[in-house]
Amino acid sequence: MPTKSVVVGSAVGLHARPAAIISEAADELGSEVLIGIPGDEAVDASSALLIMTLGAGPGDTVEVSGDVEADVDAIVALVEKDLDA
Amino acid sequence: MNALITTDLVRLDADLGSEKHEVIRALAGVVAQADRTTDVEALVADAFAREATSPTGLKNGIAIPHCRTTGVDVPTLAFARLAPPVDFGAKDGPADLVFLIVAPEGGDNTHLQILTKLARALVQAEFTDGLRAAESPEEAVELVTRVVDAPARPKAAPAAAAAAAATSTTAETAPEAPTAGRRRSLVAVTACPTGIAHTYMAAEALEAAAGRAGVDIEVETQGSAGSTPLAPGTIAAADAVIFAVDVGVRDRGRFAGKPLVSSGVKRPIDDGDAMIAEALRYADDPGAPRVEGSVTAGEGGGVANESWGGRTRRVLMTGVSYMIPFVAAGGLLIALGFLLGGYEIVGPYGEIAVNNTVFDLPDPQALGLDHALFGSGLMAYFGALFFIIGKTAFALFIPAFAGYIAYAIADRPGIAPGFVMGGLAANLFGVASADGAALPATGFLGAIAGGVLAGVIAHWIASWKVPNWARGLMPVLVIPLLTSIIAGLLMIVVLGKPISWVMERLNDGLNSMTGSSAILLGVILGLMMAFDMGGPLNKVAYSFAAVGVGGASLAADAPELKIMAAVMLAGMVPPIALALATVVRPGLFNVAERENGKAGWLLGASFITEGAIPFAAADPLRVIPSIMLGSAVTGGLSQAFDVSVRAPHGGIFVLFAVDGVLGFLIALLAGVLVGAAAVIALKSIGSPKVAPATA
Repeated sequence: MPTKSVVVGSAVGLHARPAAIISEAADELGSEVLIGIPGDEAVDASSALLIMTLGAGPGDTVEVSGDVEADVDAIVALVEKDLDA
Repeated sequence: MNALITTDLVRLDADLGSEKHEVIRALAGVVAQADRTTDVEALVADAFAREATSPTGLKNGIAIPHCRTTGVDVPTLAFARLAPPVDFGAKDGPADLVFLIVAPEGGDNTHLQILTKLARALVQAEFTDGLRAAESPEEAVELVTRVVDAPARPKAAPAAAAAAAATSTTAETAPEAPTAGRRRSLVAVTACPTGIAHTYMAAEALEAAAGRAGVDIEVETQGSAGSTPLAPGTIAAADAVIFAVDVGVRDRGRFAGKPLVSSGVKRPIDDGDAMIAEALRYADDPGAPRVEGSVTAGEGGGVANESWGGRTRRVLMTGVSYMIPFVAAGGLLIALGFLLGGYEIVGPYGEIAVNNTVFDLPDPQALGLDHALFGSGLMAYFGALFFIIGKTAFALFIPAFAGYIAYAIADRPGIAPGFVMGGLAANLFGVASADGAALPATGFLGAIAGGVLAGVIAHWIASWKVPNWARGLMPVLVIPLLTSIIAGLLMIVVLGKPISWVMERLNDGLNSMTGSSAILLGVILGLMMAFDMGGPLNKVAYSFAAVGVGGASLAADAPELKIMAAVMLAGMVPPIALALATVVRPGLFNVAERENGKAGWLLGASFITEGAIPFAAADPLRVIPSIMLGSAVTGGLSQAFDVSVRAPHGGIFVLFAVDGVLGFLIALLAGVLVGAAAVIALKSIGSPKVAPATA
């Protein structure tokens, strides 16, 4: 299962709006993508609420994993982008 | 420092308007009334601006409008339980629990911290249920405060603490609230007769469905690659068990007493979500079917409320799947023996094994081994040894068949008596009277009858009520002994002669099948192989052939070996034909199918018919008839060319065990071309929509 580490790019971390954008994108994907703090249990990236439970701040590293590499990459791209910009 | 939330910041069952901006404005007013803001208009404007970037509605009736604003000096949380609920832009409907989160402009990341803590609480059903059941603002404030005022802890702890706090609170305030907040866990076992494709597809489907349902699942894939048993702790912690199997579950006693959902291996692939839901329902239902037996008794191989047909199939397939490795090892070793020692090795193999060593090699000429590889004594020597090992593996296949049929019925206590019945069926002991008349060898029919007898009798004896002191003796002594006596007497006295009569007729029938009737048989087997690609019909044809290989005489023209060749070739055609079609006319297939096509070459070459399933599933009416046509051509040609193969599996990788290699390749190529042409023709004529859609 492809797993990628990525640094959170949003200026205030994965709070409500970045989480909402990521979860919407994850919902559109064909496969399940998980997102989590390394060493902790990962959560379903298609739930904004679950993403917010991570409490990932700006510059924190999160792990994105899933069965389909392209889908993982899509979410990784969103996480590392500053979605508040 | 002011508390984040106080009772004057809570409104229960409030009608704050019918639209989210009205609700936000009203909540801002609540903040103003509590003397928390100096500039309510700035607060409203900032919250609206935030809302405009993306809606703050979440699933399950929750909304979290929020902003950073110059209008407040301390972080503030206002909560409203709305009646009626108001749409905040969530996909699944309006929200009734609304939190307005306001943080001072600039400064630290308090905002995010609050959000994180709140989110961790909101995913707990206890927390939201508690808020929905709260009877006073005090209760609501207490619930929220426990969550957001909890001191900083290591990452995972706040969620756990929140859960614990919420649980204890709801226990007081809402005793009827469901206790389902704990993440449920399931275990599953998947297994199919060959253990190559379906076992793993079903496991993947179950894992995906469990993920969608938000439950943990661990799947033990009892495939041919061996399986890693589930940890006992995992099984003990599981709420329910899913068996998706077409063969017996290994060591099912481990799961004794767990609520059970059982099905064939195909169901999770079609219907995984429903199976997970069923398992969760059974977990709460004391009357649900359970895995029978106990760990010590080791009894009961049957699946609860399984149909007779399904049970018969499962029992037979268990026997076949354990038998095939014997046939494969034996068949390939015998083929290697012939390759090295020449076909005359059937004569002097014993002499060579007894009289010769690597340092004292046999003389091929003197022993009449005119076809030993390179005329070499070394080759003849190893040929003889391989032949002996292969013959021995072959001798065990009938006993193994019967033994594992009995195992599928009665679990472990059935194995020994089943093996004994299989030994009788094969006349392993070589029982013969002085005048040479032997005990009838009843072959695979005898093995089925003996295995079933042993299984049923062992299962029956295992159900006896015995005193505790005797219970330990049952599986190791009483059951094997009594079962062997009863089933053995029945085998020799009652069943032996009639079954051997049937076997003789069957063999006569196969041997007399030459010319057109043999070709027809090849065609029919080809149709069966391609029809359901690894499903029941395919397996019937395959088992028929594989069992035949084990029982066949050693001559290359034995009809059983030709049938095996027809079946193997026909089973190789569908994935290769479809792979070819994706290369010739890629426009007729979508991207996923073209990817599958690349794998199809190897899957087909390895005789894994299942490789065609993705194509057939997407477009059954065009794909299945096409590949049936291709396989039928191949099956018929294989019989016409008298191709034979000594190995029951392996595709082109057992080419050395094939007699009639040219015919083998021609038959394969012809079927692949016909199948590919048919699928291209049907897809381009019958499906005008496909081409433009993928172009």
